[in-house]
Amino acid sequence: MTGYCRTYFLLFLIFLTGCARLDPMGGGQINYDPAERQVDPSDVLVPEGFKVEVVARGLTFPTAVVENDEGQLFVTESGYAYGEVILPPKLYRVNTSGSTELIVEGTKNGPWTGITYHDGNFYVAEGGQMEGGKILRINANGAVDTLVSNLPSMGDHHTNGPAIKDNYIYFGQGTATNSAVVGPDNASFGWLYRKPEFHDIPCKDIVLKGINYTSKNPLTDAPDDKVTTGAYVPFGEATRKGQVIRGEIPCNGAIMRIPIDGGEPELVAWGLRNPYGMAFSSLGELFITENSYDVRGSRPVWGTGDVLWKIEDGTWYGWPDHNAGHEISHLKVPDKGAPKLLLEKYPNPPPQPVAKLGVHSSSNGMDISRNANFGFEGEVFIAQFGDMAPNVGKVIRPVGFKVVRVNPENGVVENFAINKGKGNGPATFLKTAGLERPVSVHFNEEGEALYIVDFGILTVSKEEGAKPREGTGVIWKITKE
Amino acid sequence: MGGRSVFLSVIIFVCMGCSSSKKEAYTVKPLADMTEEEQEGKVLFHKHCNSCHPNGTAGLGAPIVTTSVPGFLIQFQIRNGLGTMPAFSEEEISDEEVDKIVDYLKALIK
Ligand code: HEC
Repeated sequence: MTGYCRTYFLLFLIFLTGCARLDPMGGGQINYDPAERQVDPSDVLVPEGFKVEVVARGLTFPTAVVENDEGQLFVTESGYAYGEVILPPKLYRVNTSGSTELIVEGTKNGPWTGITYHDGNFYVAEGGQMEGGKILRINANGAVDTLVSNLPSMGDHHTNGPAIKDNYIYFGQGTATNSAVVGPDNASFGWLYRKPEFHDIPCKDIVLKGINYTSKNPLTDAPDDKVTTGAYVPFGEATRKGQVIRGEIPCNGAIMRIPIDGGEPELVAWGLRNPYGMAFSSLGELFITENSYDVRGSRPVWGTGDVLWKIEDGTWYGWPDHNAGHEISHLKVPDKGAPKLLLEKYPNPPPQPVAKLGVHSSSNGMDISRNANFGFEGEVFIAQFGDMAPNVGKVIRPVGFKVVRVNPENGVVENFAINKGKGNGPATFLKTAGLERPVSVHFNEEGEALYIVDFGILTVSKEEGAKPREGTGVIWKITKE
Repeated sequence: MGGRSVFLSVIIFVCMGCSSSKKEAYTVKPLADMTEEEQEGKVLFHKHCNSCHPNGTAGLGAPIVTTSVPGFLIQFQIRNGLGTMPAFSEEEISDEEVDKIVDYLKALIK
């Protein structure tokens, strides 16, 4: 290295180490006290020629919208938010004035994560935090039938979807944990105290390397109590090399389907961490969004982006050893080293994704444009809820809090609806009246209007965890001018 | 080190520094007049970099286009992965592809 080069190199290093401290956000965690939510479409930036409107506001944790045959709009309220706020989930009719009428109130087994409409009925994915996940059918009068129940949803991630094709209801089932090992982070979520035996279930038999992790034991009062836990087993149970974990259906980290009138779940695809959004293209291809790993728990994973996948039947997608087709062992967790791989052999080589999305963006509900007049035909629109830093890991700047569109041909991710103002982040953080936490998007039947469901204010801090605020959810609508 | 290199280094340090001068790159429309290399660079950037540097701005990773990092430093960073960023080998991203990524980022910075 010449002296000249060395100077650059040194300066570069100084620069790299100095940057985080110079950053006015002190490392990017958006720890702030949000003011009252304001809502103003002119604070949302969309491509030229598009118009933004507000359809409804004041909702509590809305998650998804759908229309019936007459074009009447309906919205689900989740009934559950991180921060262990547990309410009854609800289905409302949304009037053109923005007022809502209750159709049905569910039991406290939310979150209701998604809804679709087919032949006179609504189909709802009930997250199942308390009693296990379900797929519900709700008729026009609000009568509820349970089509499948006892899905393994009592952990970190829930039952998601649904989408209907050829008389089958497809749904996603998230994993119990961040990366297959139950740990103290699951106690922070709340569920480890309620369900200390709960853990991930693979969809087919897998063979473990026998990697175990020793952690604090939050289930006892003794401050120094430690336990050792392996993958796919209850908290405090170790595994050994060559141990086979039997696959079962229903399982975690999977897409499954049931016949439209209910029945036993069948496997569609597995090895997905939290498959959240799903939509069929006009060619009948299934696209899904996967929320990727967090930097938390006994086996933290750093630097893995959320993923947009096109699903091939029967395929394993790489969790808990891969992200977006790559082994996670090349990504060093700052100050901790790289995660060890857990599986002795892989069910199949993991496929390559359609696109990689922001690390911690929480890329959730999605839909596909199918109207030439709206434009971007065939592109996948994705609602990015936004990061939950610092509890999922650190970020330099807020990630997500917007709607992006992805060209599935080349994986390029463009912004579609973002907040105006300086930098990126939720509206209350930017002190504007734009988007807070978009959780899903939905094109109307004709495909000429895109609804954005905005969950509302949810802040996260190390001290208090997630703090969602009731009555701050909004439905936005974007059309061509 | 000579006075000239100190001067140069200071200039570079200032131009790539943690300035808050926002180019709001994430709001710009797709570049209409991108060259073929730049377009290929964009696709490669989205495949390898965008999840940590959304549209070239800060996210999990540091900002690139809003702080005008010089091209050779982008190249250096890709191969050496200073700080917490992983390094990318030639098998993952070829030299030619690195050049295209740099071309694209320079087009965004312009
Ligand atoms: C897994 C996340 C990740 C990926 C993928 C990634 N980066 Fe980074 N990048 C980072 C982080 C984190 C930093 C800040 C490093 C530090 O200061 O510790 C960074 C810093 C940089 C910097 C220095 C910016 C500055 O102002 O200091 C450049 C240039 C850069 N990355 C370019 C790229 C390019 C080009 C790619 C794709 C080939 C890429 N990065 C892929 C995480 C990533």
